Amino acid sequence: MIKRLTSLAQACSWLAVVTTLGLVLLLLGFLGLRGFDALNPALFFGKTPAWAAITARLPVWHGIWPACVGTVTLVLLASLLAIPLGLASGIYLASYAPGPWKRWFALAVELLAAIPSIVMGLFGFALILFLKKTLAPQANTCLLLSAGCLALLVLPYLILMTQTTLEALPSELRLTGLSLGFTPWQNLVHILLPAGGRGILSGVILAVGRAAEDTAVILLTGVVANAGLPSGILGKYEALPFHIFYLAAEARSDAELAQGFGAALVLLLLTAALFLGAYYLQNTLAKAWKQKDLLI
Amino acid sequence: MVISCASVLAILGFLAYFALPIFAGGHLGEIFSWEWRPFQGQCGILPMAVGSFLLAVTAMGLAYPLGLGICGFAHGLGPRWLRRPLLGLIHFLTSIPTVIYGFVSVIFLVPLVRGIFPESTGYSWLTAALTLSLMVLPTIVLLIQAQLQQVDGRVRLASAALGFSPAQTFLWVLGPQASRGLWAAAVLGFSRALGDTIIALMVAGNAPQVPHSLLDSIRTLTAHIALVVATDSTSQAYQSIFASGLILFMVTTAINLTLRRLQSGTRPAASHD
Amino acid sequence: MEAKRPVDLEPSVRVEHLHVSFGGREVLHDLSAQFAPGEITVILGRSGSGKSTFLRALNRLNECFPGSATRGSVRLKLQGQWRDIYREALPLTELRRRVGMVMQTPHLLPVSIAANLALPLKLVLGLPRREIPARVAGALKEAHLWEEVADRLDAPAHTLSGGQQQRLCLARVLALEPEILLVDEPTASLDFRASLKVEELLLSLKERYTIIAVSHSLSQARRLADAALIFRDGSVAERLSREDLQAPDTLQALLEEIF
Ligand SMILES: Nc1ncnc2c1ncn2[C@@H]1O[C@H](COP(=O)(O)OP(=O)(O)OP(=O)(O)O)[C@@H](O)[C@H]1O
Ligand SMILES: [Mg+2]
Repeated sequence: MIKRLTSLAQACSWLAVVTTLGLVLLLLGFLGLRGFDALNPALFFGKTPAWAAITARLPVWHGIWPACVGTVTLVLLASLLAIPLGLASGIYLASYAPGPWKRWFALAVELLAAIPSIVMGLFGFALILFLKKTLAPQANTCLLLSAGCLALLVLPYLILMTQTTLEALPSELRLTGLSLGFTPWQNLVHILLPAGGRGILSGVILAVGRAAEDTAVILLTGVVANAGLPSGILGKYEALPFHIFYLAAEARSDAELAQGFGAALVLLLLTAALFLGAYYLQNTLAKAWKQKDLLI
Repeated sequence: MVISCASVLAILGFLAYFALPIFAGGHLGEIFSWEWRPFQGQCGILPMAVGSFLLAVTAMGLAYPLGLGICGFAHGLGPRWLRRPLLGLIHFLTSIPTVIYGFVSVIFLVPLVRGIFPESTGYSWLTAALTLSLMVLPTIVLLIQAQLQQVDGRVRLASAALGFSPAQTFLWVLGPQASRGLWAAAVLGFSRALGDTIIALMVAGNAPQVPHSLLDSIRTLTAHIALVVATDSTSQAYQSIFASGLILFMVTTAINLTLRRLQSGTRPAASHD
Repeated sequence: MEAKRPVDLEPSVRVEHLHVSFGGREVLHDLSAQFAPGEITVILGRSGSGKSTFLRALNRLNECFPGSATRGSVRLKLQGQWRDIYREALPLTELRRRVGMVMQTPHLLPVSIAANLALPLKLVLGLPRREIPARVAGALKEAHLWEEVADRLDAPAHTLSGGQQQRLCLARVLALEPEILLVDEPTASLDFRASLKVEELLLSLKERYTIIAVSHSLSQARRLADAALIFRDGSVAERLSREDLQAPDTLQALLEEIF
């Protein structure tokens, strides 16, 4: 009886794994095959000469170059806003400094992490409506707004990643510096951050990946289908995920569909590369600590 | 640091500020009603709330058993050597952009569903649920996995010493021990599925109605927000999306707070034994 | 007989009514004790009786643990001046530098052997770069480690053996020129020969420092101690002089008391 149950469970688990693998293979294979055909300079630049497009001398019409540039700008801007704040907050939460604020702050971070991205986008949209009504009637959704909302979206990941990395460091490491008379700041800069650096960096990379792929936030805060290269941080812009979203609904020809596959593959390669980088960093971090433990 | 606190408050404040006129102006009945005809002044969001709920539940219903199976596989039901590559792959899947699931689904699954059920357009509850379940699957696996891992360290040696096989350990020790954590994983997965916008927007069809069958088109609260913002309609329609945002915000917040409570309740107990 | 003991002449550490608790659970209760310079005082007691906690109370390191609370007074004579470390605004970093501590297990920084000494010198003392190598070598010699590591100062510190690591930690503390030395079970993970080496080292240092050492071994205490404190459940159960320690019948009583 017990034996039967066990084998039944084993069969089910095999089934689950095989189904999942099948579906994933289907998804990636489909995308890989169709996308690979589309991967060529024309995908990026259309009929514009590549160099002229890259140097922004000529506009690109039937290519995903403006969307790539838009996504990169967006992600850079969001990182610029979110990373310093996220690291600082994570460090604060990981320190043992007591304080009535800390628990509330931890709670706020957790709540922020739970907010669906569309609500974050709605927040940005509401902000603009509010500005229009009150301070600045000409305010409109734009690159800066999107970056700000994206920064808010990834901020909790950064904070939690920094915090858990620092807390996972051997506690003796924290004590050693302090027992020698280091100030908490020296301890952080010279011991804890170098030791946890790779873990924190991998958190940063994962956050960047999330910012690059999110569609819901930018949908509400200024992305458009045909803006060309972003004109400034207060202008509209194009972005890869939105481009894919747009083509899925609006593709009129096989060429446009192929472009959709190409764009999807490019985005996937981008996020996959970021993911693998983060994964590698984290594994080497874990290994470094394991080795150290063995040798002591 | 203050920014994080401030932004949570600001988000809530903004949503409330824009949603407030509904509550003050006596439009409450109109927003919380079953009809969405903005040009006739009927802006009910209840169908969308139902849609959100149904879609999240069905997607979870599909993904959770799969996730549990995969975790069981990794924790003793399958061969040990497959464990690391499998979990590595699942980890990798979390990095696939949501919009890509949606895209492939539009190109591949929608025509398929239309082919099998000619009476449907293919853009349906069913299609969205299938796609969404694949999208949340890795998250669910990782959530369950985290819960199992906690228990695993405690019971592995003890049950191995009693002569249990890995499969038996999973079925009779690990699973039951982690049951509370498994609930938590389910609820968190549900809140993830609830917050998804893009897949619902791309393949669910977006008709503002309560569906009668899996093949009907549905609209979620999240997609509703995106649609109304895109189509720039009346101020009452705007109010409906702020109400939608508020609902989403409150539900996810409530889920998180409850789980937090639960977890801080289990932690001392866990360290006791 | 009592009067001969230097401790009664001029102590350099006075602890009065010390209470320490973690998360509401009191670990040290109303503990009072004195320690004299030029002496090694050995603390003996069961595992969990609060020995390490007591040492950490003397350089306020308990505060690095969440939920710790300390009451009572700890006064130290630093540079000829009495300082009440829990009342006066003596900077923590200054205190911890003057009260050097070697912990129960070697706490290395994940850097090279030389950098383990150089980093504190640079950060805590603010020494200019060119003075550091001489200081590092001096401290390593003082800790009898120089011959063993002179040719591999740039190797990672964790490649040293357990006993070498323990002496490296001691050297690191000595380099900062403390006045009081807290040594927590310096020989816990060492074999007999390595232990003797560390003991010799402590004996050679005792002229210049106030040394408070925790030990698990009665025979070690008899070799090292000028005085011994027996801890039981977070307070001092007994204070023994050197002569008491050597007497065979106290030995019997102690063995029963502690083990
Ligand atoms: N950071 C801490 N948080 C909570 N409790 C602590 C902490 N440090 C010590 N304790 C508790 O204080 C008591 C005394 O611990 P301490 O480390 O001082 O014992 P000890 O005498 O040094 O033991 P051993 O001989 O095993 O090293 C123990 O019951 C321990 O659990
Ligand atoms: Mg101890």
